[in-house]
Amino acid sequence: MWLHEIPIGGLLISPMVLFVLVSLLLTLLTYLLLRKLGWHRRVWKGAWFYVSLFICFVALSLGVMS
Amino acid sequence: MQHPLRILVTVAVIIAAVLAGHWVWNYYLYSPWTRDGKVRAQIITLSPDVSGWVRELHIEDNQSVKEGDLLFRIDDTRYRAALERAEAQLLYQQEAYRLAQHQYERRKSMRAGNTISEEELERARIEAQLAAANVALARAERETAKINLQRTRVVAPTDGTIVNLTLQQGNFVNQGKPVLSMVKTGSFYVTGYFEETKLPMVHVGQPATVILMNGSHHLQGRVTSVGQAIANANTRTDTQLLPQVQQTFNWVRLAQRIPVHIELESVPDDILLAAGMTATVRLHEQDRKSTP
Repeated sequence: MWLHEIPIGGLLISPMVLFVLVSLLLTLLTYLLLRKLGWHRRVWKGAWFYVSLFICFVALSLGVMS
Repeated sequence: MQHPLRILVTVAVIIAAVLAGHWVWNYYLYSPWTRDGKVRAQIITLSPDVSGWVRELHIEDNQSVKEGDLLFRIDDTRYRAALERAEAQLLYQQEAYRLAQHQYERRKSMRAGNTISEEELERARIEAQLAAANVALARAERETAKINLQRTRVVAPTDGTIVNLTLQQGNFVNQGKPVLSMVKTGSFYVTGYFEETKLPMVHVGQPATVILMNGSHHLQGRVTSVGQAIANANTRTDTQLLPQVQQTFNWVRLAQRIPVHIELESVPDDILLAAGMTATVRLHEQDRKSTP
């Protein structure tokens, strides 16, 4: 039930902003985790990988939270 | 040399992203929900049926009133005098009728003795009838005067709450000109403005969730109707009656918003609704399939 306005100080923010923020955070966490495990350097085309991962996370957060 | 597994992982994630992106796009843009919802209510605008000074004002702004409660009283001295005049007029016409009737009866007996002509008798009969019509007229006028006097007391037509009262004691109010408005009790509903692209998913009877701006209240409702028309700016005409056709961008069009009315099933007591509040409206798709 998260697909509704998020009021912040009287401003109505689109719920997509929240999903994007959560996904950015998750992508960052994944990046840090991969680095820590030493797998980061073995990822082929890192930029493509992380952008795609970010989109997957957006869909996941939207699916889970709404 | 590239390890095939590394390539495979990235390609798999990209394919997943394309599918996920497609799903997000459809879900966010085409699921039946709108951020453009407004709480609305039935507003009654009250106009006095007679003109005059406001002699007594019995209400305050935002006061709740019951059906039949006296809201204000218009100065009734003129209407009282009008009623007295109408009553006197009725009395006069009744006496006039009695006189005419008496003359007619007398002439009937005179005609039997051949003292007066047939024409004279006929005239007396018609005069009596005219007097009877005058009585009916005077009676109707008295009724009107009575109604006008009654209407100097303006009462609440239904249970409700007074809104934005600017009327003051001593103001002159005109017949038929609105002087105050009230919100009918329990008449709150929500109108969601849905983009036309989402309309195929909107159905009458569909359950809906209304989320007010404060976010803590989720109200349940049901779609009662979908607006059948919105204004078209291209049909406006200028002083020569030529259509004022709007220019549009070649590439971008904005979807029109169609009003969809949602009846609230129950409003908790602790929640304060006011017409004009912002709300998010979500219609439930899965339940729609079960509804015939």
